Amino acid sequence: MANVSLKGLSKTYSGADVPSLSALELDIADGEFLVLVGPSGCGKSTALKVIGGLEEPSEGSIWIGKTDVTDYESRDRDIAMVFQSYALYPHMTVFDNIAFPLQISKVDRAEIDKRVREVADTLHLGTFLNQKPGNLSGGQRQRVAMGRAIIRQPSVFLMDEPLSNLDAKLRVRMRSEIAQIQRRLKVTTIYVTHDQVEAMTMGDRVAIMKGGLLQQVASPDDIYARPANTFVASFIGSPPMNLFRGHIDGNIVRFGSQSLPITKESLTAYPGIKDRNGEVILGLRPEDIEDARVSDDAPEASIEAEIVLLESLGADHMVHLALDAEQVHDGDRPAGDTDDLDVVRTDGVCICRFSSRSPARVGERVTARVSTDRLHFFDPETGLALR
Amino acid sequence: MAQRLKTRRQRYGHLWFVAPGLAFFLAVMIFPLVFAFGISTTNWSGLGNDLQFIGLANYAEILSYGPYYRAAFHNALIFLAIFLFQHTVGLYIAVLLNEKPRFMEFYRTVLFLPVILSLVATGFVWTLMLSPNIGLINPALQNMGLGFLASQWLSHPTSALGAVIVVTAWNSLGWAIIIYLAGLQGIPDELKQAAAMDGANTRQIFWRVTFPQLSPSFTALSVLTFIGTFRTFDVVYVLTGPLGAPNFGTDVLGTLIYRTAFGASSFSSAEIRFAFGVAMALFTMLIMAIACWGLLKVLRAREIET
Amino acid sequence: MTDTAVSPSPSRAASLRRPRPVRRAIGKTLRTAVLVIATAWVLIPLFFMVIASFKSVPEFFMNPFGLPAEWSFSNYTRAWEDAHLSLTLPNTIIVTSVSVAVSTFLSALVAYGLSRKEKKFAAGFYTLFVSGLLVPVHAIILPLFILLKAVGLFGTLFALIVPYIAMGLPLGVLVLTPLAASLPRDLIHAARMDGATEWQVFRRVVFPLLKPGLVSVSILNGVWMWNEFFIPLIIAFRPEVQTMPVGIVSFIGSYSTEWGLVFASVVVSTIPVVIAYLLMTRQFQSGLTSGAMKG
Repeated sequence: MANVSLKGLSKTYSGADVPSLSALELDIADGEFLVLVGPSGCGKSTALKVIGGLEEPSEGSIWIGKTDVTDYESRDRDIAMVFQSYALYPHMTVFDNIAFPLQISKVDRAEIDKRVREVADTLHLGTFLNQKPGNLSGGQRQRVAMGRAIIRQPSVFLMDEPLSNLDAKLRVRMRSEIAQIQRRLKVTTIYVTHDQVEAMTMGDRVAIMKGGLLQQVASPDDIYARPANTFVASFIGSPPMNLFRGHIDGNIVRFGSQSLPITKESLTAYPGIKDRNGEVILGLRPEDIEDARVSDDAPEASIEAEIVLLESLGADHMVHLALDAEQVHDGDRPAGDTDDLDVVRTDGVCICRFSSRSPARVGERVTARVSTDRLHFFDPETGLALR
Repeated sequence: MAQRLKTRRQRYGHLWFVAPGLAFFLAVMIFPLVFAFGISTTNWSGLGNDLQFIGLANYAEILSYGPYYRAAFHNALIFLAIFLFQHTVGLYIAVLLNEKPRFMEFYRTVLFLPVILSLVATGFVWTLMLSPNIGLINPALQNMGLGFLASQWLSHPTSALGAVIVVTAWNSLGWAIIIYLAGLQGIPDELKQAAAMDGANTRQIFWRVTFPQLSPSFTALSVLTFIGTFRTFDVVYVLTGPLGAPNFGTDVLGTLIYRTAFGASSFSSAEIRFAFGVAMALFTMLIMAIACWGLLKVLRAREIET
Repeated sequence: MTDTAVSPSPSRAASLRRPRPVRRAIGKTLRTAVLVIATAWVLIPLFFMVIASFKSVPEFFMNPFGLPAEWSFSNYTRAWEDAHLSLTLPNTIIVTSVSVAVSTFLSALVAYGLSRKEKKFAAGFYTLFVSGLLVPVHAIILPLFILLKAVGLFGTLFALIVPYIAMGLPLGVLVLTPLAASLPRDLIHAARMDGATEWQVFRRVVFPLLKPGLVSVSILNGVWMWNEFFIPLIIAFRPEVQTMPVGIVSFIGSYSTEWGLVFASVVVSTIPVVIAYLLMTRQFQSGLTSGAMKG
């Protein structure tokens, strides 16, 4: 068991002009489950490969416990990895796959046998030990890959999108199984995924990356409630946060022809907006907007607009409201980039999550209640939260 | 600094896996090749110590050496004949086998059999078949009332070369069948079905859909045939001897080079010119490498188009 | 469908029907005939070779193509002794199996070493090995002869084994390198993570996964090594170190009219490959084809 420290880790592949990973600083506590999440090409897999010793960092160092392992070969780092493809040895039985790390390090046969059976029991693989991986289902292969990682009792687990090849149902089950196993074994784990649901449900902390740069590291709740910038705000949450170019005018924020009051809660959460008159980016989560007709409370603040699209998901409706405010999109913009945020369209669409009790219909004009204690404010220049 | 060291080890570490093979390869192939080139710039006969450096004179001599052109011409004729044979008969049989007739496995197994036989065995079998007195061909022709066709097959220059071609064809038909069959089996049925839906008849389907899809097979087989026929030696050696009898009518590059470098029984040792033979071998290698490269370039370009 | 879609005119309708059963039967017969003729063309010479090997000299000349009146094994016993098959058969087996095993194993090592495209040296060495396919044996045989004599291998079976090992490498590298490169990178990474050294990665993961390629390479190289005529013709002078094809040809010189004896020798030299082929027809055909397609 050990903590992991990444100090100024950078990686630029030969032939590439932009680094895949830039000056990554991360401390992962002993026993922590850290999820590295981001869109494809954000550098999360590169980070994992560098930590695992499969790639050399261009700069920086990796510490496991009190040892600088930057110059160590993979096999000397005392880490185990679960690969996206599972990387099971197709010519070996399940038993040999799981036993492989022990066979390599010349553990004696009886001991190997005992430990493989233990691991197989925990993972419900007991009856498959003599099969070849080719005969197993996706979920079973996934377990074998876990088994091979667990058996060495390493100080660190690396997991590279281990669930992405499973079907949706199995993914949900394996998600909790992996989280449980990790909690029981208390092995420091770095888990890479592009799936925000995995990130939010599995991680003790979530590290969001984009363009090789770390955007924010925090607990899942913090990430959701207090995104550090517009990228994090729109990456976490489904559907993503609505972002509009707005204008603060005293204690009111205006966007298009709409306006919402700035509350005490907003001022506490975003002290940067205090006395700031002028441009901001306003963020509204779809789940913070509700049809005024089904809201029990009297509308403290609301927007009024026409419904242009309605998608029913059963439990709730995704309602698209046409707004005349400038909508901001932040899909591919690294933090600190000072270019203007992309204005996708001036006649913006605001996505709201109405409860299924709402009688909303396409084409009608509705009044939607906004929870004004949960507004988000970002700097229009940098995209950073106005804290 | 430690990092440097590791980087270097990772970059070149795999050379250890290459080293043993490379050692054999350099010792047995590259070193003798360089050595051979050295010899080819001398007038060494292959015996004794009498040798002088003569530069590229041997190579210059090849250009005006009649027997070389004659032998190369014979190789070219063999290539052409085998090429045509394989892309017609070989392809046709492959198409027939691809329709999965009864006894398909049997046909395929038998038709490929000559490929694994040594050319020495092939040569002997056919020496017997073509032998004028006891051979099978002449009596068979006589029984069919075609006695006038019976011939001293290996004694006339033209028919002897024809015999070499027939034997080479016998030996290499299996290649054509198996390579085309592999190509045919790789064509998805949907493609042919779609063409049939579009109103193409069997012949159109073959020429417009199937055949273009076979171009990788065509390329592989053509190159294989080219290398095989221009390297031919064993068949001629066994059928008509190292002199390319009769009267050099079946003399090919392989026998010419062999005879020049090592001598043949009826040659006096004075006629052995080892250095010149080596020069011809190297020159032929160069020409073949260029030709192969050109052939591949042309055929591969055709593959992309289709 | 648009108006331009073809609608068969009545006169064409007849020709659009499937061919009548009679015509189809004729077509099928013709096609079967082609296959039968081709098969006969291949089999008849082999058949007569086998028949001839069981005939005594007088019987052969009186009745070269009928079945032997008396099946005589004397040709075989004489071939075993006089044609030195008792020496050259074991020689051929030893030379072929040792050369195939070593050459294939070394090819696999080279293939793994060169399989990582990002290594700068890989492409150059790959080309070097593969261009070995073009090296003319005629040109290098004498320098090789001198070399083998200098290191004291001449007159032993190693004089054939060593060149065969090297000459098997180009094909081995040609077939195995792309195969090694196509192995999932993750498997090799996983093995390294699991604590394996590079040698263990090769031995435990890469080598077993190359198996289909190893079979192809062994067959490809085994067939030519077994049948090779020219190299032993120059390098192996005595029956004690000769392989069968050369042994038979050099023996023929003095017995050229004894066809039965000649064919008995040829049959013996051929039987092992034919048996191997019949046992593993699929592997032979796909193995040889994969090599040819890559070449």
